[in-house]
Amino acid sequence: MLFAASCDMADFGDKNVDPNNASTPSTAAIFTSSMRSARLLITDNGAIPILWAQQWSEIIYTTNSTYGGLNFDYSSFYTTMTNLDYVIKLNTDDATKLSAQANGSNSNQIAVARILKAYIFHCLTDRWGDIPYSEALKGVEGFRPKFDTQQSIYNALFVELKDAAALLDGGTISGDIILGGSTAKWQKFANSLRLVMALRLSKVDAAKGKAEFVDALSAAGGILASNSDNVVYKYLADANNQNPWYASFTVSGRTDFAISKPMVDYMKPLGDPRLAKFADKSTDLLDYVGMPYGLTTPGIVPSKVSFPNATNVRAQSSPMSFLTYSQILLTQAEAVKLGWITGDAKTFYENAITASMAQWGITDATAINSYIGQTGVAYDDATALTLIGTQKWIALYLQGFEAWTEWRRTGIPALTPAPGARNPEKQIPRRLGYPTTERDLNSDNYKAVVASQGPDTYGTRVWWDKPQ
Amino acid sequence: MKKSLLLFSFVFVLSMAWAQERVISGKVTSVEDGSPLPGVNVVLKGTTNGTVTDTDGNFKLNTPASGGVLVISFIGLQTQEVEIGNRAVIDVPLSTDVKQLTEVVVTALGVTREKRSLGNSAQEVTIGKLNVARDPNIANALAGKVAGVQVFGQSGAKFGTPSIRIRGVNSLSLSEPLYVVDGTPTDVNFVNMDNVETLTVLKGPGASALYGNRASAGVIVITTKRGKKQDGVGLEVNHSTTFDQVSLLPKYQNEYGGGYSQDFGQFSYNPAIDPASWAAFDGQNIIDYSADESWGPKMDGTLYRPWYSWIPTDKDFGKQVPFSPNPNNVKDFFNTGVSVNNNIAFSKGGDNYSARISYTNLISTGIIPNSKQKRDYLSTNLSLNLTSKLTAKLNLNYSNENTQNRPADGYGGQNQTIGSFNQWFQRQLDLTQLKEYRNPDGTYRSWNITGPRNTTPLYWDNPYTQVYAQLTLEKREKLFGDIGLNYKLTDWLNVSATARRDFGNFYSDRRVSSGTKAQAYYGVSQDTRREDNYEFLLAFNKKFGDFGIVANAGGNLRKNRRDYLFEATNGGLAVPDFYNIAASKDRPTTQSLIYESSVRSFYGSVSLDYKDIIYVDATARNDWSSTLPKGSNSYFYPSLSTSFVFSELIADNSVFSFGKIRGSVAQVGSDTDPYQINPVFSVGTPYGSNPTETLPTRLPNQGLKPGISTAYEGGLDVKFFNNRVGFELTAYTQDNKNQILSLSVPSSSGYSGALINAGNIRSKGVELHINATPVKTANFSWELDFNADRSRSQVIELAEGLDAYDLRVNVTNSVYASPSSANYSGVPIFGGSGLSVIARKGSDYGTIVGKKIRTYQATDGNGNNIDDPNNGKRMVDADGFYLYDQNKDITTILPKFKGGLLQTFTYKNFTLRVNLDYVVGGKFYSTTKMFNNGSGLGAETVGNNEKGIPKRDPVSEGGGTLLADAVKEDGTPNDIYVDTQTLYESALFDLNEYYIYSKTYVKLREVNLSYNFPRALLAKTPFRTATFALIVRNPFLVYSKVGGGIDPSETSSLWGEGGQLPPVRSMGFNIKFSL
Repeated sequence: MLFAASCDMADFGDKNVDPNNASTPSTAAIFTSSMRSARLLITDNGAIPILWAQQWSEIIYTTNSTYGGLNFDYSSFYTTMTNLDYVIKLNTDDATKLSAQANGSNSNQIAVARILKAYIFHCLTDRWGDIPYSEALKGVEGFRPKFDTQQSIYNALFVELKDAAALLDGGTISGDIILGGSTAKWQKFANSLRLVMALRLSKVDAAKGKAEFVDALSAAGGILASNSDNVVYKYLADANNQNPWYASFTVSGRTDFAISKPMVDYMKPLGDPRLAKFADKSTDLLDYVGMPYGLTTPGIVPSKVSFPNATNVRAQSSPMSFLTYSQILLTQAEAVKLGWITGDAKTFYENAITASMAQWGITDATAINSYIGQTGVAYDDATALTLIGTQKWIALYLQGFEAWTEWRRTGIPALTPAPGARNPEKQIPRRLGYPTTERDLNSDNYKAVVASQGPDTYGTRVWWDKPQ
Repeated sequence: MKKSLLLFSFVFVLSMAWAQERVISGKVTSVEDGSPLPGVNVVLKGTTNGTVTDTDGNFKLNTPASGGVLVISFIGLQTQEVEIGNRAVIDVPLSTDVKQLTEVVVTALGVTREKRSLGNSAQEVTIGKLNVARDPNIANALAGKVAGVQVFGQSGAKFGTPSIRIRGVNSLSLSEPLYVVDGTPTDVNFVNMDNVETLTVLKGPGASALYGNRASAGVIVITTKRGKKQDGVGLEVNHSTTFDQVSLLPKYQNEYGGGYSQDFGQFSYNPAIDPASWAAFDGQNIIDYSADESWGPKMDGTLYRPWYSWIPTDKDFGKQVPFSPNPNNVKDFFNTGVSVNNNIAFSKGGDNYSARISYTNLISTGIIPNSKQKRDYLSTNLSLNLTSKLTAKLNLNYSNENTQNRPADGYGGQNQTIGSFNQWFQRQLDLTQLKEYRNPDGTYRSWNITGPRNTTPLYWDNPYTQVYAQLTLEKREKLFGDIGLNYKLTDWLNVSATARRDFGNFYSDRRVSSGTKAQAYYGVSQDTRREDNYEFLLAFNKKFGDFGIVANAGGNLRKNRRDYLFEATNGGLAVPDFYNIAASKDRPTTQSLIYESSVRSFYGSVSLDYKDIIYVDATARNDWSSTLPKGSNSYFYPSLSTSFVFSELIADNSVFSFGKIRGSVAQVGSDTDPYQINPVFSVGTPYGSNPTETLPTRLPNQGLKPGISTAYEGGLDVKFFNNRVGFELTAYTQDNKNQILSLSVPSSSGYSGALINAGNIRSKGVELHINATPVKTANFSWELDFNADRSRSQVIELAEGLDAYDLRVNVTNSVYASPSSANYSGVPIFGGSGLSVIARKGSDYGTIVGKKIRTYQATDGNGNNIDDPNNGKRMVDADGFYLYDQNKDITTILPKFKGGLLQTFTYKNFTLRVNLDYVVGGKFYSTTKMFNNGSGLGAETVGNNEKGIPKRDPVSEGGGTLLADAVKEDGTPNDIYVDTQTLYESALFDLNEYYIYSKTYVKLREVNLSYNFPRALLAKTPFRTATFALIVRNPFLVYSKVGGGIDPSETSSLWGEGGQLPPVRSMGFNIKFSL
């Protein structure tokens, strides 16, 4: 009775103010967490894309390399984009834009958030095909977004990347753990990303691809111009931020992955100096031995195959790349070959190999030149697309999703599907299955996209993926 | 005492002898069970001459020389008049009075009501029927005993932490009922079974409206024993010892050992890397030691080098042994657990006081080696009548629980061993070699090694390493109770005020030793929860002619607070085996949380009765919760119920004894956890010196409203043949409107979840309780309680823009819920990447979605479906494997009905109680079966095929497995044999439908055979009562449709299990006596 008399029954003061979480946001801290989450775009912890690209093979448990599973979750990427949208909002709303400037100019922060968002959407549509885009990220305004066609998303992203890059004014931003706050590098990233996306259209819409490619090349700020422009995620020598392969091999003492037989069989006869950087020698056989890919029960003990390299690939702070200089050079080499741009494909090709070598710490010009000069590697205009594609496959080592995606587009290198394939198609997957949450909770739109894009299986090709 | 009675009788008889003509004697007994009835009035009719029976039911009375009538009466029993005639000895059996039958139950606010007056469903379980087999956990002991109550019994290996659902999945949040002990809400796991006097289950909102917003999942009201006026010293002792054993294990195969191929490998000596002495080993048989599956060579006794023979320091280094089965290797891992449970209680009552002190000590060792638990319960109930009007009372309960290595279900995390045996193991392994889990040099050893040259554990620690070198210690302390004053203003008006506290402190400590497979680790958490309730109540009770009025009005202030601290090392321990946060190699993980909330309430109730025939009850309550947005944090909910005892209008007869119809409509409001309203930013793991902040992945909701459940309930209670047979039938519908749910949402919306007010989730059900005494003679009786219920839930409307509910992420335990009740979260996500369980708007609750095996449908030339005997059969592809479709609805999980049967047989002083429960229909997903078969451990993967050739032999040699239930795509019978290993390892693995099984089972839960020492035998001893009993808990599954070593009554979630601990059978004895 006392409390009834002394106060308003419905008034609890600030009792419901959460003491366990911060009430004030920092755009720098949100950038850091978003970029930290974005690292998962390069590969997943099960190494699935690295496996599907047959850069690695599983040694004992081959479910992933035999295309088990189907539904992949993209929730962390969409929630990351929600965070980036919030950075944009904090830099846009009158009430917060002034205080947000502590972490860089409003336009720089907005631009970086938009570029990173576009990169995420680009990765997602390449993997799943049609995805929610125009109605996505609306929260309570729309829990069940429709799926947009990949074509419309590509069109939108070309514009988005161009517009966002144009906002950058050369200053720096805080919290950027990928490019150290350099907006000049973000500009190069955005323009280079447009090159990659444009080339993706080589089979489905070459005219559009060419136009976008040319446009991106002439954009202000230029493209990646050296390995120092590489867009890299740097793991740290700290258990909270360590390389996942370190966690798997060293912390857990597992021996799940070895470099694949197709990769060793290609690199070793050519004496590729990168092989020693990519892999360790087998402890039993004292040589580089690739693990056969995708057998149901391989029956090969781990000591008889080559693990990923302990110092370059799976040290606690071994980095992983989003986008590299060599990748962009190879992208240009192919564009020349396709007649989209003028230039010397051979030079782009050779510079790309040199850049890739340098990226892995190989700078011995003699060794590089003898590698480049030999038959099988030396540029040959007649087989240029195969050479470029194969070198890209090597240059994209550990950039699993990109390597698998480029294989889907070009069919290069010629990969044999896993003999133990578990999927009904028995072929290398051409996309990822949607998360079960879309199937179960967004079922009308899910049904609509299945009807328009094709069955939600590994076998359905995304829009830009056309049979040879 | 006896002496003085005798002396008294003697003097009485002597003093009366001169005036009377004769002395008659006799004994009054109960018709129901033949027991003697003490304290019965025996009066010579028409006089004041009378006596009462003694403790053995005997009486003596002086009467006139001839004639006369004895009137024998006792409250609650049928008064009898007996002609004396010329008899000297008159034995009188008394039976229960049908008319006066007063079954009382404890309802809301601790008010004791006659059951006949209740308009809604409340089912009481008496202590005899509750505590059949001395299960120390009250929730466990409820299995099968109350219609509509389902106990999700977890394996006894975990020291008992079951979950309870009242009326099934009546709200989609699957919350636990509220447990109220002597008026104080608390955690049932800390309530001492030995103190329970009565337990009443209030099932729907109608029965629980007055308990407020946490009562929407039902209320279990427990009253504890109090001191009574009684003879004797007032001392009770209750001892039991039980022995626990694994009662069921999956069916393993014992034909093939570890490996991936039936061929042995041979050790190949390499002088470049091997010691010279190893040259002799060249060519010796080896197996794939790194293989954690059993698709290896036949265990035919071939000599080979076991794993330990490669460890240079092992005494058996270099020795070969036969490759032979060890059929009991898994069974041998488990211990016989022993539980010793001792209770001692002192109680006494007088005119001005009642007091009871009880202490229980429980020591258990688990079936998993090195797991143990110790519990102490101390409680006291005091009541003092300070004046004739003023009463003070105090109830205090303290308990202390220490658990070492509480095992967990599943495949990862702490102390899992069974997951290993059922997923990754080699069938030939000899456990005696594993018991030594460390080598002389201190390194840990495991069967799972890389190979002869590297004997470091590869993927899996030895199970003994897991239990001895990876320790979890839990300490839980609980204090709950109340202090209160009651003042009797008048005969019909009481006022009382009570303060209650429920306080828990939970401490846990996890250590992983340096050098085992997991990274060395030390983590510690401290979790303190406190709930205070302050309440006052004004109670009115008066008769006006034929009308009676009972009215209550009161208020309550509830305050909750939780403080949580967690710290754990990261990156390993800087000093090996130094378990301290200071030893963390990298920045330790830390978490500190505070939760605070408050609810203010006013409530009132009025009950009217007319001639004990018609009863009408109304209640009303208003709550204000701090957790809801201001402006919508006040919510009012009323209830109305009525009961009509129509048998009062029917003349007494021997067939129909009692009849009542009842009906109620009631609402109950609910709030949510604190801090769910406003957007906040969680501070995450920093990257170097860069801090991180993220938005919540669950969208907060500033427009949240209180949830209101509305229930409609009707019932019929009838009894026949002098109450020998009784039926209670209840039907209900409950609309859960605006229920506050944390829903999964499509993540493309930018969030993974959202807190919403769900439109309407409706549950419906029927419940039947039958109580019958089919046989009742002087020496023998048979009583049974049968329960059955069926419940269904449906999403009528979810939320704007949402039409399905993902049930895998539905366990929204309150932040205040006790950690022990959080165990019901073991929803196996490992069922496969495409498997889910959802509740879709408009369709059945609990649809399992995933990979479905394609079935045959014959068509004519035009593609129209036609009848065919093969229609509906599973179909195989050209290779002989099942064809399947992804992303399909497979089945629904809810059982058709479920319930239990409790039977009591009494023969003279022997009583036999047998309790079983059952589920009919429903489905669950077994990850254990999938892994068992996938890794070649399961019995299903061996034996001969239809051709009489071993299944595991190559298909080319006549081996392989035929999926005999299937047809080919053209409808002809399947005759294609497939490679058995490929079938189970990849084709069926993750083929969800194949591993979905019926939940149907009948399980014997409890058996108790007891002997009550007769009073005559105890007369010459200091004992007032004494009982000896043999008890068994969970003896066995009488029937389960799944078979194959899985106990569907203990599935770790509603719809599936994965790596569940084995069921445990407990057998032992119980001794009880009182002085």
